[in-house]
Amino acid sequence: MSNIKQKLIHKQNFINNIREFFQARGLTEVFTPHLATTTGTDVHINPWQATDYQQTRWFLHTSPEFAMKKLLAQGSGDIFQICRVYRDEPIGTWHNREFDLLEWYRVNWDLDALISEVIELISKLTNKANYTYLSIRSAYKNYANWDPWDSNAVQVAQQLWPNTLATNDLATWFDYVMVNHIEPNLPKSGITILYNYPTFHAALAKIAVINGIAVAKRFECYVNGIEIANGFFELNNSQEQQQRFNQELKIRKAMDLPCWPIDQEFLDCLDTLPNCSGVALGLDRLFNVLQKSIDYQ
Amino acid sequence: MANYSANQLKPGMKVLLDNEPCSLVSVEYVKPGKGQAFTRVKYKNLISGKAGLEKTFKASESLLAADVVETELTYLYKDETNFHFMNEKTYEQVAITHQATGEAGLWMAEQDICTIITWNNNPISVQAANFTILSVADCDPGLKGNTVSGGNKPATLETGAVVKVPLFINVGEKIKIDTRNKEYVGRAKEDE
Repeated sequence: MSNIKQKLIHKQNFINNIREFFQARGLTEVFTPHLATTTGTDVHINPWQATDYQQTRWFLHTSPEFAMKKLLAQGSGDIFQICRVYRDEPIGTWHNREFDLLEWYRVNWDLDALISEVIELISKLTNKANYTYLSIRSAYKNYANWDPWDSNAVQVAQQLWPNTLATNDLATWFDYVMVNHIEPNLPKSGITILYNYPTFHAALAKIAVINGIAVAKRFECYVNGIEIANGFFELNNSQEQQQRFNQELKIRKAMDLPCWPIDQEFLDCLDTLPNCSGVALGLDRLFNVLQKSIDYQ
Repeated sequence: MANYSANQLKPGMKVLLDNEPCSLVSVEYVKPGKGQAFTRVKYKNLISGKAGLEKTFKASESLLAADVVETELTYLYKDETNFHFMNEKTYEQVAITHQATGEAGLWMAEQDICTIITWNNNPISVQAANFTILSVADCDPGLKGNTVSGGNKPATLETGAVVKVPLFINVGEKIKIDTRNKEYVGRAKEDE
């Protein structure tokens, strides 16, 4: 068999295995539109735009999240989707203008249950999968000796890493430490789950108070040291979500980034969205990581 | 002056860091799986001359370009206060204090083409030519027949600089020096 045919078949089998996994568990596969007249407010994501012949502006979706939550709010039950998403960002080893995402939602499941399912899926796709389970607070303590929840966190960071970053913003320090001290030190093989993020990185996740500290019910899954998936215990309160969107728009404006109108239909659906947990998994990245690892069959 | 955004930065660029002119040695992007990226630069401070410095900042931040100019000037002579240079293109004469000239002053011979770095039109550093020819002002006498055996001795040059030279070198001889590592290269040839 030719080299290219072999590669194409590997990819096909990879996707088929994933479909089988969800079909066996009774989730419905959905196919939501890629075009919308609104887009998300995330400060670090830039959408692709298109103009139709009537001069209406459209966006290519950066994630199927809003569309899938609208279905969930209408009573779809557990759903999954494998689709292309589009983000306007420089191409890199692990970044692309367009890539495939696997996204799925489990009604009435808490985050721990969904994390177990993520681990089961990755274990099915590789032969074995050892996993590490770390709260963000523990990870930061272990690898950086710094507590983002400390009331003096910024000052402590400035003392621990002088002459590096000139900022008083806690979120910027958090990101800097993640990229310089946490991610490079995560286990280079196997699955690592980081969970319970600071509230400034809640995005679309619910905030809970655990052991006296407020955390975002959010997890990220790394495979062989590469970030592969991001999941939430989904926020289903339209007012709180709107506040977060407005906050992001404020930051976008301050950074001279374009600001988009908020998706009102999405906000409205949140109030009828059942309690659920959802996760988005980068299929291109997972496929690449598995190809590189000898565990991949 | 101009602003450079993170993706415009390249090694060799002159930027202001902590309000001082610096030369970028390397530029690296640190991109997490998602969220904001950072730019990490390694640089040399052009005023203090300190190299191997590092700084990280958000990829969304931009840096101010530093008005740093490198010019080649011919060294003419020195007096009590200044070293005097001439710009061969404009014939303009430039005087730079002993302090601003710094260590380079020890490695300059008349007519050497030196590089002067100015910031906002003020000279902040002088770099001697890669090779220079200076005469030996003082050293222990060279013994006849010492051309084969190894070993070296310190010699003080006309500028006050001290270099290690082979044992056969005598006072008054002109020698060629690599100013970058301050090492003896050889005897100056007749036409040098």
